[in-house]
Amino acid sequence: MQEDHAQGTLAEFEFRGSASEYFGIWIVNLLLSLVTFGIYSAWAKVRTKKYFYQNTYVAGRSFDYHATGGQILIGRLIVIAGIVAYTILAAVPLVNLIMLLGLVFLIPYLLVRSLRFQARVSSWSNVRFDFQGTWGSAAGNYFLYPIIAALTLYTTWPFVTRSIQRFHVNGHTFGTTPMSFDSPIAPFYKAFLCSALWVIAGLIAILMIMGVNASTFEAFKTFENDPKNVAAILTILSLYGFLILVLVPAVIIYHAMVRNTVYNYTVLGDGHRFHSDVSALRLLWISVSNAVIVGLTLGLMLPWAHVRRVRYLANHTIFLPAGPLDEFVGTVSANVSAIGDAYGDIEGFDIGIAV
Amino acid sequence: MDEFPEDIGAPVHGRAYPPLSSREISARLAVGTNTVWLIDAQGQIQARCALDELTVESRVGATERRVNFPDGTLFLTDRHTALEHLLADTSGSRLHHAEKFHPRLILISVACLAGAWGLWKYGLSVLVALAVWMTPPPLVSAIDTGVMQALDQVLTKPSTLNAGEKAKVQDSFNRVLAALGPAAEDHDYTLKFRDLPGMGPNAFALPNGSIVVTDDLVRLVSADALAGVIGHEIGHVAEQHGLTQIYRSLGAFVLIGMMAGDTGPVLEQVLLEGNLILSLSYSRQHELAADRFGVDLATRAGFDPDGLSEFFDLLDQEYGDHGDDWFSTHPGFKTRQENLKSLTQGQ
Repeated sequence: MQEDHAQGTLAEFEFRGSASEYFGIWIVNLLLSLVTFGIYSAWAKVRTKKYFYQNTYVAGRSFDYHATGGQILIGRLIVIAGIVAYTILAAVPLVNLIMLLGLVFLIPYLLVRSLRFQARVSSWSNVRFDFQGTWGSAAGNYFLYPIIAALTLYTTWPFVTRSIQRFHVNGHTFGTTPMSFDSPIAPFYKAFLCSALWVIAGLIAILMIMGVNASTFEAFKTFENDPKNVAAILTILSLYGFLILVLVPAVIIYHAMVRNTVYNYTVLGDGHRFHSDVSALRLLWISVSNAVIVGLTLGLMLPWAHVRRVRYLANHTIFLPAGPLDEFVGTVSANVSAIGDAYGDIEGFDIGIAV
Repeated sequence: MDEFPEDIGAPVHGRAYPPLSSREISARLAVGTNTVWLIDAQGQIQARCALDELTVESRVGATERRVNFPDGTLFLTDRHTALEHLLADTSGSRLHHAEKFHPRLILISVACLAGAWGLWKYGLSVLVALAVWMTPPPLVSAIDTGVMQALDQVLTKPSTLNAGEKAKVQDSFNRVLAALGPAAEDHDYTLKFRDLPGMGPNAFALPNGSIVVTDDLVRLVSADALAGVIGHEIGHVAEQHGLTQIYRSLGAFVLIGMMAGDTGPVLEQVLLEGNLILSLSYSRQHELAADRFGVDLATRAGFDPDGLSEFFDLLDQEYGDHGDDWFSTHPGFKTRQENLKSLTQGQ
């Protein structure tokens, strides 16, 4: 029934789920998580992941997610115990300094474990992914290179982004088939300039609308002398709001353009390629309007917002197979604990992965 | 799609993959008395096992059902009803049924909103109380020692009060503490004198019972006001406000992280900052609770109940009232005085 897809020249990513169906899954998950004080959330995560993976098809074959709720729960319990111990001990000076040094080593380790876990519990067409990136490489990409980039006033930030994407893509394998990514630096600088342009345009707009030069400084002064002055508070709050309107979209634009580049320059095995043509402004519109709608509906439209975003991304991603899809071979790999993954869930790694 | 009556009892067609392979084949499932076969389009048996060795994953939405053979062969089918009929399997169907888009979901949504509010309002307090109770005392005492050492190196100077001034304050402290009764044994209450230039008349408490008063406080305020301030700090320790605040903001952070899942880039920021503002509101509530606790304690020790209130007047004159705002850890002096007034009038 699906054989005719295999030799096609291009195969689209498609998301076959629906917002109404996901709403049911999401709300039941939430209720069960609430009445169990969050314990069920581990199983809820698995169910949600399964829903999105199993509904995402490439060339008529779906992804799958294989972690179990028990695995996730154990990982989370260990991480919570660790965070509690850390928070209490952090109140003790000196000890917190030592712990901070420890974290510098622990975070790259957890990051690699997290990526490995996520890869090994994900599959497409019955073949699981794997991740072989190293701890040292993670430390370099997330700690060392950003510091070096800061020394150049972030003008070399696109190089850091490209290096991080190499770390992610080249570290992954699909079964025994390697993945690789490399690209010229120009597309990364293009993304960087576009988001920088947004920031500059936004700042100029703030200057024009609010006349920052005199009246805002005045407002800050008034606020210091008379903290109840409503006009001053409003001026300062709207300044803060404008800064969010400038910075958050800039990040979204950057990620969208980097995503396109990563897909367009990634090769799977001998010549299977990808193509992504996500529009940064369209994605920005989706993110902002999603946030507004979810906020106005007390969160009840979250499933709809999530499906809308996922569907947009899937509709703008294409797989370009270079040969038959029946010949990928998987490997049996040992289970890896979910500690890194749980840490990512709770603390939120900002790994900037382009998916 | 699973409602088609002709599907029932029909052969279960689908697609299968051999172990560790992406090779896709059309196949169907057949069941004998105790054996399951996977048969391909040419009629060849691709895999077989005993019925109880088969693992059938529970249904998630309308996605294809996954059936795993023990050798690693995977079979997928969207013939849900036929499969359930063939294997007499209903695992996970109750959950799947509850998730169907149906007016019942409105009820579940209301229950969720109420549950989220209840967990925030009461559930978290229970979890926090449990965590405070489970915290080992040596850890709490280590916090006190560590913080005092750090403060002494960075911020504070040795007290310049003379022995007589110190003795008077120590005496008030002992009297207020005695009013606490047997509860005074729960913590290691100790009074410490420090000079904190630039901090003005001030006092603070650490979770294990170290209570620090500044020289300015001792010099500027009356014995009654001082007793009220000491009572306030004892209140923070006795009611474990320090640990409670640490655990509460941590608990909310963890719960949001686990339950909200992926909320998208913009909302995530909003949620985290909202949590911070709400935890400040808890800090202000703790201040008011400690005020009431302190005045009550000082009164029982024989001091004037208006002492603390007069101290707020003094602060108001010297430093001005910043009023109640969302971004403060402490409520305004006016609010604190009204809070105390309701206490003295209530008695």
